[in-house]
Amino acid sequence: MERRDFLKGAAVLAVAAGVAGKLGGAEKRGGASETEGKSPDLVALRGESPADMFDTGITLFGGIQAFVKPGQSVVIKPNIGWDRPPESGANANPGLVGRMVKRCFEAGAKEVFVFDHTCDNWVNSYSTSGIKAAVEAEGGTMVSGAVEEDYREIDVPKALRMKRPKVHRLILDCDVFFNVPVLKHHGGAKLTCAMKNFMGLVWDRRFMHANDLQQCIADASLIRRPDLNVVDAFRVMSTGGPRGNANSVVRNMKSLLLSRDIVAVDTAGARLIGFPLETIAHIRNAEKLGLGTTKLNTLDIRRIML
Amino acid sequence: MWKYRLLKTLRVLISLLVLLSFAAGFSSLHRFAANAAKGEFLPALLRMVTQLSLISAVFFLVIVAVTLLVGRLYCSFCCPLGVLQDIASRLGKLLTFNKLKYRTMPDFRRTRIIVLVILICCAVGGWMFPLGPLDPYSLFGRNAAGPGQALFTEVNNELYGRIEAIQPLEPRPEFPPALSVLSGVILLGILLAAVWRGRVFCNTLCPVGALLGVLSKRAFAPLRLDPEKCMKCGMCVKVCKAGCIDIRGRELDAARCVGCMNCVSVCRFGALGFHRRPKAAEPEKTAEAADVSAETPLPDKGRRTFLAAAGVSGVAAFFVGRLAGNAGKLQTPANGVPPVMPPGAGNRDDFNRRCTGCGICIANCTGHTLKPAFLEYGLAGMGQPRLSFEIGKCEYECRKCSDLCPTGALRKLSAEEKRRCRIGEVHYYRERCVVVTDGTSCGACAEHCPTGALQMVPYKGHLTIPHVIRDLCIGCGCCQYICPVMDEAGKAVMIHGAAEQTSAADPRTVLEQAQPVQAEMEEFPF
Repeated sequence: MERRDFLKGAAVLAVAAGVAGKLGGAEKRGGASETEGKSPDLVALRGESPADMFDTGITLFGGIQAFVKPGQSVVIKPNIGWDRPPESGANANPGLVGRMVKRCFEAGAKEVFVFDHTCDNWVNSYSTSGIKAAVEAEGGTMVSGAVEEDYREIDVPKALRMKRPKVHRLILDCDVFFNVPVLKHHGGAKLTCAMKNFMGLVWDRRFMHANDLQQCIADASLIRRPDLNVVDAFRVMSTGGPRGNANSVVRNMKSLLLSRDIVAVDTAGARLIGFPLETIAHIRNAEKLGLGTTKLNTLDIRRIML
Repeated sequence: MWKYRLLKTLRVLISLLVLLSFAAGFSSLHRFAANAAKGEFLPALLRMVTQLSLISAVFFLVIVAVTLLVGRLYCSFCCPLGVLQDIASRLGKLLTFNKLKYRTMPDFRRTRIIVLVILICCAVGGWMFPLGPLDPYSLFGRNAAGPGQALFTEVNNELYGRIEAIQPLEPRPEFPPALSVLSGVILLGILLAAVWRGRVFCNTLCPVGALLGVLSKRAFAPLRLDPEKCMKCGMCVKVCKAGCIDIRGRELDAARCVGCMNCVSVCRFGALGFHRRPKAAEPEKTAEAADVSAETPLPDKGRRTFLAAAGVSGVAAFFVGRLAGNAGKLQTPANGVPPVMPPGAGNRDDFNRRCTGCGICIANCTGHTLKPAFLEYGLAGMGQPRLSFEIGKCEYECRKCSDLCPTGALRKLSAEEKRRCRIGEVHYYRERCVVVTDGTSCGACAEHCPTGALQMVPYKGHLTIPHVIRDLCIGCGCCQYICPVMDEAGKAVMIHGAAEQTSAADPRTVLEQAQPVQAEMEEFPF
């Protein structure tokens, strides 16, 4: 298909979906934001800059103002797991995170915190990933996820395996929570996407590995529903993940996915990277927990080429 | 006199600066500050010899040259333990309203020399352990890296959350209690002695003090007391930390004087100062005898006995050192897992012979992995760093330990050398692995492996299981650290330390080559 045809198709689809939404055909999911009914279920963008894609994508959800109200505290939780540079695709795109911080402040956020419970040393991971510099340039605050004192035990009654996780205080205390994973291959969990990013909210990741990882990842997603999942699929590590080795294949997919539905966005991520859904058990487990749907054809999806 | 007062103020400032940089270096607050350790006497000497380091040679020669010129000023200006003692005695005087006074101390010259000989011979024989807690820098380091840093972390984390600028610090692994108690008790003893009578340790047990004292004795222009000008007022004795001024004999023992310049800044008669030694000694003494004992010449017989005693204890210490150095070395540890040395250690024999256990690598370890060994290396390596993967791993890109090692026990590694430096090898115990025992996904080990030595390969159904590519493993312990298995026998992946560190294969050549990048997708596959 020619790019132009595709764009046309996408535009027609978008309009059609919009009309369908107005007519009340779009499936409605429970959520906090009042604009939810009008906005799409999933927005997929392709372009040359993750930050610009975010700016375009967020307008379809009613702009950043739909999420961030003046005086609120915002947490952006990117994947900053590794002491690896941006081109490795091991961590979320720093430009994207920086832009999000900027937009949050523009919407009147009181404070914007960024953190991850890193795998490599947190100080090095924050700086090598480029995220620290990008966040601080926009006035955001990097917070450590490295000490147990910052985590509080909570009850997750719906969870099947991880019922009492210790969760980072920022996630429990903030007003707005953006989940910003990077899409990549994962040797153990098969896929790193929105749900897998929740491992960075939890103190004891060994517990998760030891108690049916695929169920624990789904259980973790019950901790708090993100106000928006923003999946960075710009540089996608498609082998040797999640840390990446010397010969890891990093593909330039130049994409960004936005959705409130964590299951849908992970399903789309799996399709994008080309992994069969049935091999990624945590997505199915999460669907069973009622966290979202894997049936992308039932959703209002907007596809945009920049 | 004002000139000397200025000099003394300068000494106080410099010494506090030294202590400050050590405090910063050992609390891993400031990386460059930790390099100050390379300027200390014993580390500089060891690194000069073991790594043929030019910079260490310069440090060492400067210390020797200054000592030969004006005496052991090093002990007052640069020694962190010395500064600590000065602070302790100062505090003691404040708290007792000056009831505690310095006074002339007996000369423990023989004790000093014999201790020096024993420690050197022991170390040469292959047993570094006795030197470790008596070398002033290393003793300071052991306490700074252990209880010092633990306290600092505790206070810091207490303030974290209350003061915005403060970042939390992760705790260190637990140290062997026996070693912590040993170095703690020695330090406490030294400080109490300092409160009581000043630099007692420096002139009885300190090997560096003894060695520099021998040089000081031959200094060109050390601090001297001019008997012609001295009015025996005794002001100098009251402020002399080393207790080296004999006011009756109107003499200052250059071998024990630490060059603090307290005396010269209080003498009202100008009787003290840096002066050249008189060319000829008193006529009845031979030049040699005057050198060895300017104050009370030992009778020849006593001197001979002393030399014989020193010789015998030296030889004995050498053999004790050899025995102890080899004791328990080849014994496999209780859990069957050989200890892991920090990257850059090279050969285990060399490492055990070179490391004084100062702990600066431990204090600065990014991965919170290094801790002092107890008997893992045998008697030889007590207090020397080893990797434990309880709460951390050897960070792939980090080279702090080999960068900072002041004694040259760890060779400085380039970034590429470090990434390939094989400090150990992973052993995979399949029967303990979660994938096998529980039949669930895990892959934590492969997830954390930075080289690709651990790969997840197909197992049952959609499950994958770890597979080791031995050539690629560097033994960094990322896998062991994260392995969730809590088996009594150990984790499902365990690092066995290498006795001889080698270079692992280049992952770029071993791992599957990258496929050509696919053409850009035109549309979304959903």
